[in-house]
Amino acid sequence: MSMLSIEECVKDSPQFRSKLQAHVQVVLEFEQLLSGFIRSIDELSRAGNSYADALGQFSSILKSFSIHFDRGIIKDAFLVFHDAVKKIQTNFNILQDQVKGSFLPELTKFSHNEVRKVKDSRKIFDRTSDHLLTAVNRSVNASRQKPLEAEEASRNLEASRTKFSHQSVELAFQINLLAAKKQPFLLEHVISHLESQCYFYKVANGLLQDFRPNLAKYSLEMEPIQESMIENLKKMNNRKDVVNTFLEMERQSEDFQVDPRNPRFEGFLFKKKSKSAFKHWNRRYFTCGDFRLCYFKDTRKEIAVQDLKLCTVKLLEDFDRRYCFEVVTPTKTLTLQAETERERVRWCEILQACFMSNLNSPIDKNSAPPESSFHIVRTKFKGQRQFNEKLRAVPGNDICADCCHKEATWSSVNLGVILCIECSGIHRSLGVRVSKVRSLMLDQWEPESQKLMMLLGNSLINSIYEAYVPLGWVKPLPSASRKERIRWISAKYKYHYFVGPNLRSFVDVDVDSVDLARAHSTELLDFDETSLASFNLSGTVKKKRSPFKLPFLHSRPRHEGEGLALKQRPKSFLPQPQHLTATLKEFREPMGSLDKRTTLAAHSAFRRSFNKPGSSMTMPPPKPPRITNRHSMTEHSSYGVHVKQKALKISSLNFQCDEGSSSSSSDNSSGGIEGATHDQLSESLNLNYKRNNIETPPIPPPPFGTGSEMDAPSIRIQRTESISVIKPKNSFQIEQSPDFDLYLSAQLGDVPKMAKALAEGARIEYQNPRGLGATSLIRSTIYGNLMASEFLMQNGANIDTKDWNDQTALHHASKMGKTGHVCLFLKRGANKELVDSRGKTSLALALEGPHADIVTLLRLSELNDNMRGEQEFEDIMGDTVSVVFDDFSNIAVKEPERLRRNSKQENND
Amino acid sequence: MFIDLNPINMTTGVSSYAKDDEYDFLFKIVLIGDSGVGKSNILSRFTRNEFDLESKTTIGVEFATRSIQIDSKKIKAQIWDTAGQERYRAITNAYYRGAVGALLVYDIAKHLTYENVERWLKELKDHADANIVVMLVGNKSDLRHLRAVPTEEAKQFAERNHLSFLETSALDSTNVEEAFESIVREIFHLVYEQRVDSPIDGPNRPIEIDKLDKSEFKLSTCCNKSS
Repeated sequence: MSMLSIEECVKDSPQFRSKLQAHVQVVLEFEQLLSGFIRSIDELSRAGNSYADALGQFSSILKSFSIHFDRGIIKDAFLVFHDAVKKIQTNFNILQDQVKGSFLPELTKFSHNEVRKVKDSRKIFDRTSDHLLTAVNRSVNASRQKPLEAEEASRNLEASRTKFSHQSVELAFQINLLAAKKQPFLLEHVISHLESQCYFYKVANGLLQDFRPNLAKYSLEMEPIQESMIENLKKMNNRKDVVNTFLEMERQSEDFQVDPRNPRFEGFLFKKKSKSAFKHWNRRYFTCGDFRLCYFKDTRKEIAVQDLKLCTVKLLEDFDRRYCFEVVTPTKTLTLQAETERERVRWCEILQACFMSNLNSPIDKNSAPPESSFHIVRTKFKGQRQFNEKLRAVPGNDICADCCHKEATWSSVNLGVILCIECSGIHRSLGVRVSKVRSLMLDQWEPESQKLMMLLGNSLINSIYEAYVPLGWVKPLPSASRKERIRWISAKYKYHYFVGPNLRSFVDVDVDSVDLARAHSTELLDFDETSLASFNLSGTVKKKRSPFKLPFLHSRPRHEGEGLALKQRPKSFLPQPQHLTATLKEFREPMGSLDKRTTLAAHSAFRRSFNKPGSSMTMPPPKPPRITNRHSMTEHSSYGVHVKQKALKISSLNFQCDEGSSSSSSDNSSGGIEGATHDQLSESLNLNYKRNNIETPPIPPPPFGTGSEMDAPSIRIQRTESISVIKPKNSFQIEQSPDFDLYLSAQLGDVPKMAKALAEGARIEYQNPRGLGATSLIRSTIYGNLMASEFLMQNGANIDTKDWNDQTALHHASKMGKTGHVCLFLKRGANKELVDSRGKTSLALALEGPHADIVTLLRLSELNDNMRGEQEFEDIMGDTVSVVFDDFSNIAVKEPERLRRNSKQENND
Repeated sequence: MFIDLNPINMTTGVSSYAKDDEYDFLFKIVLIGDSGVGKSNILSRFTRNEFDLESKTTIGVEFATRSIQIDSKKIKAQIWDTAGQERYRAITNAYYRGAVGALLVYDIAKHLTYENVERWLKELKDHADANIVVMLVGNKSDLRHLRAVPTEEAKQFAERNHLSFLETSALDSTNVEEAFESIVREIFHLVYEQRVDSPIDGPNRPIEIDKLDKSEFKLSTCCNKSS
C-alpha cells in the first residue's frame, strides 16, 4: 500500500478519506496480529518456565539417586546424568531470560506506544473533522444582518480549518511512520529471538553430544549389575529351604552345640518389668556372646547385664507363667520367659556356659574391670563415690590411721577412722565392741554413718588415742609386721594406752586377756612375769566389763569423781555406810569369781573413807534409788566392781587430801544441770577440758602393794614425766567424769568430745540421776543431735534402755518430734512395743504431738514387721518401706531443716 | 461375693491377721482427698463395718486390709488411709509407691473438696504409677439436702478424666462395698488379663495399657512396620 501523500491530506478529498480509511484498517489489523503474537510468545515463555522447573526437578532427583546409591558405578552415573541435565537446564534458562527479558517487553512496548499513537491521532482527527464541518455549516448559515456573528463564524471556520489541516497531516504522518517502522522492528526482534533459540539448541546439542559417550559407557557397565541381580534372585529361590533348615535345626535340639569357650545365642525373651506395680512383661531381644549378655530396650538402647562372673541362672517351675527362668545378678534378678520349653532349656544352658566362660575368661580380667562386682557395688548406692571422695578430704583420712598406708579403703565406723586392709583385719579381731570394721567400697553406708565418719576422721581420733605415746612405742609403718600392728592397735584402741598417762593403768590389769597374751610376748609389752601374776586378780574382775569402761585409777582426781559419778545409784547410798555395806554384799553375789579379799578390802576402805569425820565431800542430796528395770540390775555386778575399786582410791586419796579444801569446780556444775542452757553447759564442759589439759594429774603413791608392780618399765618412763605437784582439789567432781562429759557432749552434739570421753573411759550406759536417769543416747535424742545418737549406737549404746519414766530413746524422739532419730532407731531395730510409766507407746506419744512423719514411720515399720515373709507383699510393695526410711534418713542428714520446719508447723497449729 | 472381715488393731491401724491366711493377690489401694471428706470412715465401714461420727483427723497414715473374692481368686486389698490435711501428711511419696488403685474422695456437700479433685489428680500423676486405677468417690450422699456437687457434673468430670465414679455414704453404707469391689475388680482385670494374653505385635516394644480405654481393657497394639 502506497504512502499517504501530505498534499492530499490538506485537500481532504473523498479519495483521501477512503485511502485514509484503508490505512487505518491496516493498522488495526496489524494491531490484532501483534497482540496475538505477544500472546503466543507469552504462552511459549510460560511453557518454557514449567519446562525449566520440570527439568530442575528431574536433575535434582538424579542427584538424589546419586546420594541414595552410596557406592560404585551407579552413583557415578547418576552424578553425570545430573550434571548434564543441570547444564541443559541452565542453558534453557538463558533462552527464557531472553524471551522474558527483552523479546516480550519490546513487543508489548511497541504495541502500546507506536500503534496506539496512530489510534489516538485518528480519534483527534475525527473530532477536528467534525468541528470543521460544524464551523463550515455555521459560517454558511450566518446572516448578513448579524455581521458580528458572521464574522465570528468566519473566524471559527478559519481556526477549525487550520486545526483540521494540521491534524490530518499528523495522522497521515503517524500512519506512514508506523507503516515504515513495523517492518524493521518485527524483523529485528523475531530474528533476535530465533537466534537465541538457535543458540540454545546448538549449545544443548553440544552438551548432549559430549554426554552421549557416557550413556554408552554406563549401558555397558549395566550388564554386570544386571547379571549379579539375576544371580541374587537365583539365590533367593531357595528361601523356603532356609526356613526349613532352620526349623529343622530347631526341632532337633540334639544338634544344638554350646561352644564352651564363647557361648553365643540370641533371641526374644519376655522380661518381667521390675519396677512397676503392675506385672508387665516386655518382649526384649537378648543376645549372648563374647562374654556379654545384653538386651535391647528399644531399637537403639542396649542394656548389658553386668558382672556375669557372679551371675547364675535358675529355672522357675512354680510360676504362673510357663517357661520362666531367672538370671540372678549381684544387683538384681531378671525374671525371664522363653517362648517354648526348648528355648528355655537352651537359654539356661547357654547362660550357664556364658557365666562359666566369664569365670574362666582371661579376657575378662583385663578388659572388663568396670564390670567387676567392685564397680557395681560402688555405683549401686547413689552418692557412695562422692561420699568416698568427701571422706578422703577429712584431715588425716588420706592414709591408714594406724600404719599410714596410702591405700586405706576400710574404716572403723564406731571409731571414725580410715584403715588399710591389714589394719582393718586386726581391728576386726578385736571384736565389734572395740571396732566395727566396714569397707568404704563394698559396704552399704547409711547416710547417718556417712555423716558420722565425716565428723570424726583419722587426725581427730589419733589426737585422742595417740595423745601420749610413751617412749619405746613406735607407730607401725606400712611395712610393719602383723605382730607389730597387733601390739599397737590393741594398745591404742582396746586398752586406750595412749589416751593419757593416767589411763595407762588399764593395760596393766588386762594383761592376762587371752588374745593379748597370745598375740604379744610379754617382753613386747614390757611386762615381766611377776607383774602378770600379780594382776591376775584384777584380771578376773576385768572380764566383767570392757576394760576401757573400768578406769582403775590411782591418779587423777577426775577419776575419783568419776568413780562416784559412774555409780549414781550406789552413790545415793553413800552417806549411810550400812547401806553401802549391804549394797556391796549384794554386788558380791553376782561376782562369784571375785576375790573375796579384794571385796572386803574395798568394803572396809569405803567404810573408812566415809566414817572419817570432816571428810570434804560435796555430795548431792541423796536420791531414792530407782533401780527399776532388768537392765540396771544386770549392771550391778560391774557397778560393784567400780564401787569397790573407787573405794580403794577414795580412801587413799581422802587421807591425803586437805580436808578443808572444798571444790569450787564442783559447785559450778553440780547444780542445775537440767536447767542449764546450752551455752552454760558448753562453757562448763570446755572449762572442764581446759582444766583437764592443764593440770598434770598427781600420782600419789599407791597405798596398796599392787602399786609397786605397776611400775613396769614402759609406764615408769611416763610416770617420771608426769609426777605432779598439784593436789587434787576434790574427790567428787562429778561434772568432770568422762561419763558426764559424754552425757553433756551428747546433749551438745559434740561428737569429737564424745569420742574423747569414750576414750577416757566413759560408760555408754551411764544414766544421769539429774536427768531422770536419761542415758547419753536419750539426752542426745531430746536435744535432737542425730550424729551424737548415731555415734553412741555405733559404740554399743543399748537402744532400748529406759530412763526412770520407763521411756526409751524412741519414746523421747517420738514425743519431741525428732523424725530423724525415730527413723534411725527403727532402722536399728528399736522396740516399738515398749510402754512408758504412763502406759504409752512411742506411737501414742507421736500421735499426741502430732508428728505426722513419725506416725507414718512407726506405722510403716509395724506394717513391715507384719508383712515380713509374705512373698506377694515383697513382690508388689517392693521396697516401699525401706525406700521411705532411706528418704527420711537422707533428709534428716542432709536437710534436717525440712523435718524441723514440718514439726514446727505442726506445733504452731 | 465372699467377704472376709479381718480383726483390726485400732491403735496401729494394721490388721492383725494370721500369717497363714492365703490370698492370690495383694493390692495396695490409697484413699486420698481433702480433709474431712470421710476417707477414714469409708475405710472403717469397708473393713470393720463401723462408722464414727466423731472420728479424729488422720495423722500420717493408717492401714487396714480386707480380702475379696473375685472370679475364684482371693484378693487382699491393703488400703492406705492417708491424712487429708497437709500438715498431717508425712513428707514422703510412700503413699503412692506401689499403689495399684486410688479412691479419690470428695464431699458432695462441700464444693471446695470437689474443686480440689484436680489437685489430687495432679498429685497422683506426679507420684503414682502411670497405670494406677483411679476411682472418683463422692462421699456423704446421705446429705441430700446439703448437696453442693450435682451427680451429673461429677460423672461427666470423671468421664472426661477416664475415672470410674460412684457416690457413697459411709454413714448409711451406700455403695461403699461397691466402690471397693469395683476398683479391686478393675485392677484385677488389668493385672490378671494382661498377664494372660498380652499380644506381641512387634519386637522391642513394651506392652502398654492404653490409658484412655482403660475401662474397656483395650491393649494398644504398636506395630513395628519400619524395617
